[in-house]
Amino acid sequence: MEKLARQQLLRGNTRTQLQRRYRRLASNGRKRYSKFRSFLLLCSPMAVAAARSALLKHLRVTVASPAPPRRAAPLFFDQLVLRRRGFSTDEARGTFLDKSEVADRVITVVKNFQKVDPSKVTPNAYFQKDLGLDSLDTVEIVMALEEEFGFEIPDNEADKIDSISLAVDFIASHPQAK
Amino acid sequence: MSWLLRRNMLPLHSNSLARRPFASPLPLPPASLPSPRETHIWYVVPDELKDASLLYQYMELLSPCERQSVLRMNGERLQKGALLARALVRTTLARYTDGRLSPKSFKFQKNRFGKPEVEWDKYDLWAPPPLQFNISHTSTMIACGVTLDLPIGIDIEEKQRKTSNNILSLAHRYFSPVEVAYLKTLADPECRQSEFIRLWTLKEAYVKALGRGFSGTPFKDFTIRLEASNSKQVTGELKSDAPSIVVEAVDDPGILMNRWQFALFELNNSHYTAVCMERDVKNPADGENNSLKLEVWRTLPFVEDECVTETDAVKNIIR
Repeated sequence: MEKLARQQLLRGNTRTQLQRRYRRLASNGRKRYSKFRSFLLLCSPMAVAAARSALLKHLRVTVASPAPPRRAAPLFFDQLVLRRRGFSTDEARGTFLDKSEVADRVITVVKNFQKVDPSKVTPNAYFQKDLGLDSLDTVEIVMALEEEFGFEIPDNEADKIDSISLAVDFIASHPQAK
Repeated sequence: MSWLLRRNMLPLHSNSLARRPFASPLPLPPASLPSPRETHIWYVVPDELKDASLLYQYMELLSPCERQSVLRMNGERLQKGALLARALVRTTLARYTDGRLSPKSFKFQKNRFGKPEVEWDKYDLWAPPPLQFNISHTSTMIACGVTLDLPIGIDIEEKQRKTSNNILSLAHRYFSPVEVAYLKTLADPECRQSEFIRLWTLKEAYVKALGRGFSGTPFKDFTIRLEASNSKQVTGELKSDAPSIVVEAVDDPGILMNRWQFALFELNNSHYTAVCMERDVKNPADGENNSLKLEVWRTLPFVEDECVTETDAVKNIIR
């Protein structure tokens, strides 16, 4: 029973784990970069360029355009570090929203809905049996959530969103949510 | 009774309890079965229920599972609505069994998409009628439609219902292009509002008749509209020029899904009501009108029933 609970906890926290991992990597990357940078400052520009291209060849990453080493290096090195670990910059920046932030925003949207009694809106509230909403109301709430989070919820999924917690789960697991 | 008190469902008046402590309900007057192209509609207005002891009687009819669902609703008003809905379904179906089945004895199951249907027992000397039903409710009315062996969907909406979002935004998001275009032709916002609600009830009724749920039959994939009727029917008889309601797939316009027939009307001067029923191909019409027939009753189970078919309570019928 405990093992199962732990597994479930781990699964549920995968995204948070990934986020933590990324932050660790980034800070490692920054530490490494600062060492590299202090090394760079000691070298001539030509040596720096040579070192950079050697590094690139080693890491096998193509660069769009050559940038002045000193200015471009900071971001660039972070990207290299992350690419080596298999993250794209978009994912690494975290387009998955934080679940508690999503929950707060969803609850606000639902509370603002005219037909809803705000005192009944809890994180576990069901649209039909707790808030007394019917199919047209649910559809309107789905539209309001789409406006709030800036992405379209497909009709074949909208049917299954019949509670606040399901809405939060769905939105938090969607990379297009803003 | 403690389970009623737990959720603080009803105000306990000792008077009403003393007068009718769990008195056995009056027998329901039997009703004749719907004919092949008929839908019977029974509706109840929750505000007409003043006697709290009636709620106890209705509660007695429910299965333990249904009682749990009712008590899980949040608040007295929602509980009363849920209770009345279950009581309406059970008492309505019982009427068609010629006194052989009590409302309490019905069992229900869900089809694979979640649509509720009756689970009939096997009887030795009697075959129960193959009734199909569907319910719809708003806070001010609950309606139950019954047919003989034909899939049915019913939806009611309050005429005065206002939407939070703009009508055209809702239509753009959920309706088909033909329907959006139709709504755009209506300049008057009141007219547009009421036409939206009526179209919504028709689409809901169709989805409920199909029984596959909102995600199984997305609103955007089909169009419901009025079709000018041909002047001659298959039998060669002249029909009235009244347009009829038809449904077609957005991907296949022009191919009408003739399997389904509709009725749209106003009920009790307060609600738009749409009914969708499968056409009975086993019993084709012999020279008479092929459209959906309606019989409507206003009821308060165990108290009174009133047939309102030819009255003002059922108005502006479009089929």
